Amino acid sequence: MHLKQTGQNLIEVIIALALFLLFAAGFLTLGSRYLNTAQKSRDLREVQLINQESFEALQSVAYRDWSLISDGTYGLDESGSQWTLQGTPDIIEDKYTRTILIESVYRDDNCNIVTSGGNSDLDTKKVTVQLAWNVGGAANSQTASRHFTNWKNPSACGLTENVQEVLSCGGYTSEDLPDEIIANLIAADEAGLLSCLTEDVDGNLQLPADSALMIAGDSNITIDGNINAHPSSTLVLGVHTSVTVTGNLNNDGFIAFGDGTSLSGNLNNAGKVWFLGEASVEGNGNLKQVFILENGDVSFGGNLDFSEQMVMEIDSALNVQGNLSCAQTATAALDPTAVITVVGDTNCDALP
Amino acid sequence: MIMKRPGFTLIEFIIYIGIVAAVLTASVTITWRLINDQIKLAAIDAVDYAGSFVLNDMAYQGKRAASVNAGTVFDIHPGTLIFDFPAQPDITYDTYQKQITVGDTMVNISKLRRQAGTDPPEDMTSDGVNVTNFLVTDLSGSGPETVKINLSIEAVNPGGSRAYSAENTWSTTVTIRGL
Repeated sequence: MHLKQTGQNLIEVIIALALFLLFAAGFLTLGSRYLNTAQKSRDLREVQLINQESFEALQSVAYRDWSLISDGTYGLDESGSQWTLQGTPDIIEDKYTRTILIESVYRDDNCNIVTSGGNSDLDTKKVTVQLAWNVGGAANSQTASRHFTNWKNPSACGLTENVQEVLSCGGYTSEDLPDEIIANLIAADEAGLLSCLTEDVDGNLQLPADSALMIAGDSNITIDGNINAHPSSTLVLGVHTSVTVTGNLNNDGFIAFGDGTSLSGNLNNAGKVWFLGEASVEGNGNLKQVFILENGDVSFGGNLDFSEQMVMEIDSALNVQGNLSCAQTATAALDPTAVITVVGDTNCDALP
Repeated sequence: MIMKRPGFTLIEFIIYIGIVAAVLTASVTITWRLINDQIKLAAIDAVDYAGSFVLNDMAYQGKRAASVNAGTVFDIHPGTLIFDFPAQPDITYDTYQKQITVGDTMVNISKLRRQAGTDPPEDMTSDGVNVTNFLVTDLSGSGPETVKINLSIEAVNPGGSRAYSAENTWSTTVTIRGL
């Protein structure tokens, strides 16, 4: 028998090698993907913990001061021994960029959340935490949202019947008045010191500590004497109300003038005064902090002096028949559209 | 029987041996790498699981707590965190040292534990991981009681092997509702 065994030649070996490399590359790719998936899974676990921490930090801020949870884009900061919102996103572990988005929430008349229409609920905010990071040059991001509520101190859908009645008496809804005023109405209600004035008062009117008084809307009320209000009290003039004070209004707490209100006599206030629309004060104004809100149109028949701060929002106007003056340390924040007219002299460095 | 067997030339033989050696080396390397990756992932998982378990438990208990106990040790490692509850025993989180044996090596590790009232403390981390940082910071400021917890855990790895090495650091915050 003649046997001829040629064996493998080099070409066959190279082909076998190529096949092996193909399989090896497949295994390596598989292994690499497995590792990538494991890394992504690890990142997501970290993201979950960061989200948890972010919402807890925001809860701490909300409990401290609900008004800080206002619409906008923020980051978180813990450098001052407490969590605070900062104006720009923050970086965590040199890897994750955290962006906090706070948005208003709207509810219908039945207090159900709606995505369009409805009224802004001052007691509810939608908070979204977005985390963005890179893995091997690829951008990743995760977002998580929660509704935060001011459940301890509600001012809108959670208002008590008393507060709603008093607001209605003044011709307001909770959205018409500044948050600080609403908070004081709620506190006064809890203290049993919230009421609405619908009749003339013969003599001085006293507002005790922590009380809040609404003067009925669409009314002409005469106080035959002075209004003396405690610094922790709140006075709100209802919409389209004309109040005649034969003496002076001495209020060192909060006072809000609704649209279409007028006050005879002088206004002396060492707290905060808000003007929500068109309002007039027949006499002088000796004030501390003055806020003329959007489209507000305020006139003083006498002089006006403020000692600390004046804010005039968009399209607001101030008319002073006498002199306008302010303290040396007073500040003013005026929208470019705000207009001040002074018949007498102006002596206030804070004003342009 | 006459056999004619030309076989390989010397050059072909050398190339063949070289190729076989390269293939074997690649095979062993791939296998070894897969085994090491598997070990590494197991170590990472052990560390991450321990961290998540501890922090989730603290966050859960913190939300139900009435207050942070005055005995809480802030700003140093190892810290102590104590939550007060209105109708159940306090819960204390702290660390303790334990000596374990890995192969022939004795290793001291730090473990996190939780104790409810006077009950015996329960371990929250296994003998496979070592707690390297447990720091509690008071972030209450002028607001509600708020604590931040920083936690670092590493896999027990007395030989310093890269495959068995894993560590991670996390933080969480707990705001006391005081309900």
